[in-house]
Amino acid sequence: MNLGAQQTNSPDVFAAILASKMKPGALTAMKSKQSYLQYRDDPVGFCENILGETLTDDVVKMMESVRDNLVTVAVSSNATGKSHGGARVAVWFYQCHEDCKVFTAAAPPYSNLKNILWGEIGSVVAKHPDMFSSHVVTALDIRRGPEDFLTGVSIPSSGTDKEREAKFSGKHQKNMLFVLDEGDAIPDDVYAGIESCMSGGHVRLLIFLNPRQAAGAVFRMQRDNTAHVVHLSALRHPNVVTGKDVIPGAVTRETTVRRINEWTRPLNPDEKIEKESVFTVPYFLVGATAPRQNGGFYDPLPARKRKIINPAFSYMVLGQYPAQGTNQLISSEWISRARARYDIYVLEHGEVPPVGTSGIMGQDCAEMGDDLNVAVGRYGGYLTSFTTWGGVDTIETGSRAIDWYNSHARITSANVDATGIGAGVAPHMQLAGCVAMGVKVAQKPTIKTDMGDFRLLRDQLLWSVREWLRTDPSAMLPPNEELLEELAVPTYDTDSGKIEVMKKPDMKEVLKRSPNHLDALAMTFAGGGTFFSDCMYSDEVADA
Amino acid sequence: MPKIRKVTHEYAWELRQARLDEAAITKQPLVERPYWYEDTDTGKCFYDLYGGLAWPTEVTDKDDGRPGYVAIVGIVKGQRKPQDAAFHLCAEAESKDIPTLLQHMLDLRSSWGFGLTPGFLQTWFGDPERFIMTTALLNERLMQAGGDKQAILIAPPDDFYSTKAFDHYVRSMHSVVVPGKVRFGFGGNEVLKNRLREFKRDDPAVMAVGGLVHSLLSRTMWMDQSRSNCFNLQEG
Repeated sequence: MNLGAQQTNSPDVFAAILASKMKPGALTAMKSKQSYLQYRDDPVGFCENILGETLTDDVVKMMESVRDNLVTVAVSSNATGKSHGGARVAVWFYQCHEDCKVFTAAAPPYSNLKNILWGEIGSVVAKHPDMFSSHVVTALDIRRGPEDFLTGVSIPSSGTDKEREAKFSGKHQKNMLFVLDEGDAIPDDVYAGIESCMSGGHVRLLIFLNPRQAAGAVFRMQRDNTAHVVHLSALRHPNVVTGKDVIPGAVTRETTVRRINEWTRPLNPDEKIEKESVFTVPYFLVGATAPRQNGGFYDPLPARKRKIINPAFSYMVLGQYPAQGTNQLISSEWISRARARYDIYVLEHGEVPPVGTSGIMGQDCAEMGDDLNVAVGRYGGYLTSFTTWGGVDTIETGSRAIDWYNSHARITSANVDATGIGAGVAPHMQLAGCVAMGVKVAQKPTIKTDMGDFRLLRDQLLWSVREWLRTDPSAMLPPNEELLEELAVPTYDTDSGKIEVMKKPDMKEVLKRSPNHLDALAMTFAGGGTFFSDCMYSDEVADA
Repeated sequence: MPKIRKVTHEYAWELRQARLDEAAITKQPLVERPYWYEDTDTGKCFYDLYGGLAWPTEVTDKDDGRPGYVAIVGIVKGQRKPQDAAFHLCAEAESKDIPTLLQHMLDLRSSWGFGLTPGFLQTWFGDPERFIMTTALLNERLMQAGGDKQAILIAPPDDFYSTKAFDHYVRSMHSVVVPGKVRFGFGGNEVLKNRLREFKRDDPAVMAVGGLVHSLLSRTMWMDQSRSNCFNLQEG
């Protein structure tokens, strides 16, 4: 830089001359940038000293985890400041790292991202305009340069899994952070895309969720210890602990006490229940009371254990996954037992069906869109590996099903989902010499249980899967993540006087996909209860 | 060219007489015949073969009906006692179209040895009162071409006119495929297997084979009566 003929030996003079040549505000930005960079390893200090925020202990732990761990999952109860903290983490990472990309996203609908997460980021921008004075700030985007930004990425609720994965893949930079709000409702494909971006550089992933259901990619991260988990519990929030409005807008003691009264009940001393369903009233809430929603006050809380009677208490107050309810269709214990049996069996015999057993093929046919066809064979208690395919028409599906049928030894019959698009598959298989039966799950059930009638054949088939896992000591489950997840989702009720299993749209809502593997398995139980279901279909009769 | 040939014992008359004598002494009502039939492709031997027919079900505005069904069932000559012989589904065919179904029937009986002995596979078990005109016209053609013995005869299975006929037939059918007492082989034919698994009321395949099996079980038709006429008088 040419500073003219002036004397520049003195550093102070040099600085003064340099400052006079710079654009207005640029020096302030440079100075503040220098000061922000010192918080590169201190997100809490940045939030407290620079942003002037008050953080709860749980949020502090979450911020430190983002600094220290590649993947952080923040399992949170309601109104404990997860989106508030997430927005501050995003701003800290953006301001305190050079050459960085920060991607924020939230589960659909788009308003989750725009109003909640970016509402919090917007409040930081509004409160600290100087911090962003030299940045280009637009809706859902703040940037210092083309490769240096904090941005919001929408997650399409439609489109194929490949399209969703592609939206989050191919992103690389020296420093990179992904912040995902309502992470349990984000499709698995998004995580697959992000995983592909985490190959190099200083990359961090922060996921927030309310733990409503023990299923999905984020649950698997926690279960498999591939993420550092931080819990944000209402019972540790300063508002609840102190009973004062320390952080306005966050969860209050009154709300918490009301939920304790409404969603839990005193535990009977002789009652034996799972520890996940028991809640101990913390010392600071003993004697606390709260107004009832219909007027009056609840009695002061006694110091004793209580039973959680509404799963919402687990995820909205405790910030933990609900224990399996009494109306869970398939217990996690039965699943674990069947999984263990499979591993032991395979260790001894390999992945081959037991000698002397014959198999029944079950096939779930894909509906329109990115749904998949799934085929499986059940030889008594043994399940073959699941075969999936998609994107083909009914004829091709039928042809592949015929190949599957013929390529598996001792398959004696096939039960094919004949609802909707799959209606033509079973007849196609029959023409090829397969013993195939179309099963319409919306039809009347064919059997009853001691507990009562089933509403539909679908309820009967899923119930058969339950009874198989519950009562058959040879029932084995292969290590198929999708199947294990799908087995753990459905609940049932008998409110209508008939046994009714959780509806498929509700299961899709939880899983973010169709429960194809479970449906295929359930198909292997079809045909039961008809007059000839227990019969032998031998081609030759042995001489007596 | 039929795939079936008739095999007669070298000493057929003597053998039959000996069996009749033995049956009279032991008071057995049935005797084995001194001849049988052999499938020249597989070598499988049958005491006799029978045909079963069921017409397509009714077409309604809600249902396009189930196809009609024809089948040939053989009584297997094996290690079992003749009266407990197993049944074997030799061939089957189905069609929703009556002329096609009748043509299937003609093809089946021709390839499975129609006419090897008088009346062999001429009378089929089925409902004789439906599609009479179509059957009569076909018979007229057949008789013009080959004589009276070429006609298709349809006789009702046992209990056919009972209001519970289907119930009788499915129970008889069930009794021969129930585990532990299997007496019916499907011979690699898949239509009947599929129909039994689906099991819909009045299904033609179940009706045809069920009716046939019911009649066979009731009458043991593949064996001869040891006392077959009114001149067989009690002694003394």
